[in-house]
Amino acid sequence: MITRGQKTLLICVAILLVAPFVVVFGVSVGASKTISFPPDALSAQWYNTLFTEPDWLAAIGRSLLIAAIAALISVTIALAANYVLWRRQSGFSKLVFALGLGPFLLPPIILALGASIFWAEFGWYGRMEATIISHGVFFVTLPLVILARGFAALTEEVIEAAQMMGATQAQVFRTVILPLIAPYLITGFALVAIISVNEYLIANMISGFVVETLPIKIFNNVRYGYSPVVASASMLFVGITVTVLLVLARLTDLVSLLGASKES
Amino acid sequence: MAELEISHLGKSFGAFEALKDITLTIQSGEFICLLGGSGCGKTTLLRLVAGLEDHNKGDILLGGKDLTAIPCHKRNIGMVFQSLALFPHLNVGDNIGYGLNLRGESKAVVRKEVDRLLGMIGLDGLADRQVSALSGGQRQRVAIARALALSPDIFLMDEPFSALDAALRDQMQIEVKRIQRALGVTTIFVTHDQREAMALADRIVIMQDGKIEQAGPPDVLYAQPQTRYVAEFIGTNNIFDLTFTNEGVLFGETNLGKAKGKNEGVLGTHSVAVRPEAITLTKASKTGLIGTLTTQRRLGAVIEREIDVNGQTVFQSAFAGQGDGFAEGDTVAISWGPDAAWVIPA
Amino acid sequence: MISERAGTTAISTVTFIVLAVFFVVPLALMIIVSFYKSDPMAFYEVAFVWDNYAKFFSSFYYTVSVRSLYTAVLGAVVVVAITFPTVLAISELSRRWQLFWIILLLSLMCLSEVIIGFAWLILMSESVGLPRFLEWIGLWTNPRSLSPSFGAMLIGLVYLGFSIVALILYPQAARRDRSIEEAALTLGTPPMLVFFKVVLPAFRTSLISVTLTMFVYLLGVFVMPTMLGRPKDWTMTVIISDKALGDANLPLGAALAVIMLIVTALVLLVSVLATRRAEP
Repeated sequence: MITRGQKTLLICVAILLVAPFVVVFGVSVGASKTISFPPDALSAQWYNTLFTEPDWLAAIGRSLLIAAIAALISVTIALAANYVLWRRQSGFSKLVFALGLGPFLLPPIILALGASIFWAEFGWYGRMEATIISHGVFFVTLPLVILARGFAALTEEVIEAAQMMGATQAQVFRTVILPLIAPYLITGFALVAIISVNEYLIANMISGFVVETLPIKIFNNVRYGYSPVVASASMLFVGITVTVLLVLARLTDLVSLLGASKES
Repeated sequence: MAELEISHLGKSFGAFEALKDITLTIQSGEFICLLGGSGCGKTTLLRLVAGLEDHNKGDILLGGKDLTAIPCHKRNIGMVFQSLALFPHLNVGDNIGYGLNLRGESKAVVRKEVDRLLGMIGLDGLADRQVSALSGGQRQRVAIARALALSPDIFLMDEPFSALDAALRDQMQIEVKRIQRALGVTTIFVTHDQREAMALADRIVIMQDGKIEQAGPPDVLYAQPQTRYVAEFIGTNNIFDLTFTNEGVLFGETNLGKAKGKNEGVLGTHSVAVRPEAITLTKASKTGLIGTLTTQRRLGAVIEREIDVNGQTVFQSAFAGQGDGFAEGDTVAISWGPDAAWVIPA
Repeated sequence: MISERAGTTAISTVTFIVLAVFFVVPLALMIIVSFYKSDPMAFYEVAFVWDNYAKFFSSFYYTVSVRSLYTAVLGAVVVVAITFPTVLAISELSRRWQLFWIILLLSLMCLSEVIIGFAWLILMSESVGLPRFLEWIGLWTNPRSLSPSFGAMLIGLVYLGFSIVALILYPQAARRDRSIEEAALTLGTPPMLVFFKVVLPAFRTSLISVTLTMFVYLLGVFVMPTMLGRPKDWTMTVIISDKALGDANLPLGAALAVIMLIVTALVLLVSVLATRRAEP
């Protein structure tokens, strides 16, 4: 049962959460050359600029490329750590798992600074590959935890049944385990990709001055005088993020994936 | 202690009518079991009495006083929840003394009362124990003591023993019955387990589809079910559609002879309930109801059999040693005494 | 069987090496560099000096540290105080609406700090957004921009933290045994008090641990202070980034980051101890 007070609270919070983006949306579709809200006249010119100016297009492309490969790296590490831990509860596999939880617990500035020193020593400072690898490793925690739920839901009997029918270790993995944990893999991949696309600090400290990703471009724009293109770029982000999550909600049961029980 | 009067009570959740026109009077000190399958409305009725939900229609009166406007926390009820709902952050003593502390009783008074209640449930000296350190049965007792600590006018229990194993459940039933008798508190107990209801209740209220099917003492419900649902729900029963004529009672084509005893003078087609233990088997004879013994299960003290009579399955049970000597596949004759046949009124 | 064991060990080892090289080694390098000497021409000069740590104890860094801690503590407490009742309310909604909130919260959690900061910047600016809205309804006759200011920065931090705290608390809130609240009612607790008498105590451990998590998180936020705060509101994170990138003084930045690492480790330790003690 929900009380009237709770309903009021939810409405107020929802308004506060959405309000900034309503304004940004308003600015992005306005015809005015300066930031203004509510828009005097509607225009798609800022989206047009975003998708035609090579600068912005390049930033979008870089961000998506980094996100896709970083997510792949993250999910691969998370899958390996979880699979080994699930097959054999050894101390070493537990250590690997615990190590994967680490990046989430530390403030990003520490990771960012560490990574920038590391890549400087390594000689890849300022290269996109460096950003990709660091994103992939630092964002491993989320898929790690999500996949752990997936493996926890696997029963030993299913595997034994497959083995009794003559499946080898590799066949069991390919024909039984992989399909069963697929929803968790997809969720993990999508979340890492979204977070990577949105990440600023680490990307900026590793290679920000050379590899300008979309958030870095927006940040620089905001800092040194900005035009409504920034608003349309922001809305592009919101659009990508919400779309991916909506698709995810279609494909998987997000509510129970997050650990809440099913109940009416 | 006072009488609880429920009249024409109705409750809907959106389009779903959970309770339809419930009327029931519960005497002071009576132990009532609400019995029925899931979704029958028994828990809803309990929650309405507790004030955890508001009803849409009708009245609930306690000792002549209308409870409608009185919110849950002022109704002076004690309730044991299915999950027990013990407060995880409080120890045993603080759980039991929660209501007393809330009323602002002094520490000494609360302590004394908690000790008395712990004694009543047989958990002396466990006041400082953490709830998580208790066994299932002990938690159950703490929940009961907590609900009774404020000397409630009505004691409500919502399937409290459903999570216990069979042996512990039997033990808790005996315990609850003992405590309820000693305190004389009016009690409503919700269960889906008819054995539990039979063991506990002064009166069982069988519910189905938001309505009361029948209310009465356990033995009356067993012997004289008023509806076909009750006849089928309580215990195992054979329900035959028999035609009563002046020439005799007809089971399909077979004439069973004239109705005698309490059924003398009944005419027309009726649903008739005959308990398995009232049925006698004999070696096949030319007359009477003939069938084939299809299954026979020996369960120690009793033997349960199923007999196929022209496609209809008849259940029969007997004590081992009485009427033995049948084998599956035998052709047998079925009969019952004149008063064993109960004509279901509705 | 032997081959299976070897196989899993091989996978373990590779995973370990990847995590160690790209996560542990950078942290170790950072600690080493924090003892180097700064060199304006190169990144640093190899040495072993305590100078960088000594600088931390100057009044400037002392003030920044206190301000960072104060901001993070205040932000964490405000976030949790707002989020917890909201999450309880969300858990009472129908499954459909719960899904709506989950997607909203996940979107906000994933959205870039840069975007959120930018959105608030616009919302609080003079020409559009809140000040103009207040003028329009007649509450503010001469509106001025609300940012940069400490308040604007705090709003930004709370907004950032909200979705994270909500998503951490949501599973427990959704799974909680509601009959505990009903039991409190039947035992005579007025509805207004049920929250304080049983809900809050039952969540105590999680609330403490999520507040500490939030504290660590807010300590590391970079974009909000730079976008919405004044230079005098800047936190340690901004200073570290400034030293490392702006002044090219990596050793000093590294030393400050190491100190932050120590504070973080201490807070996490306290968090673990607090949760462990609460579980008997």
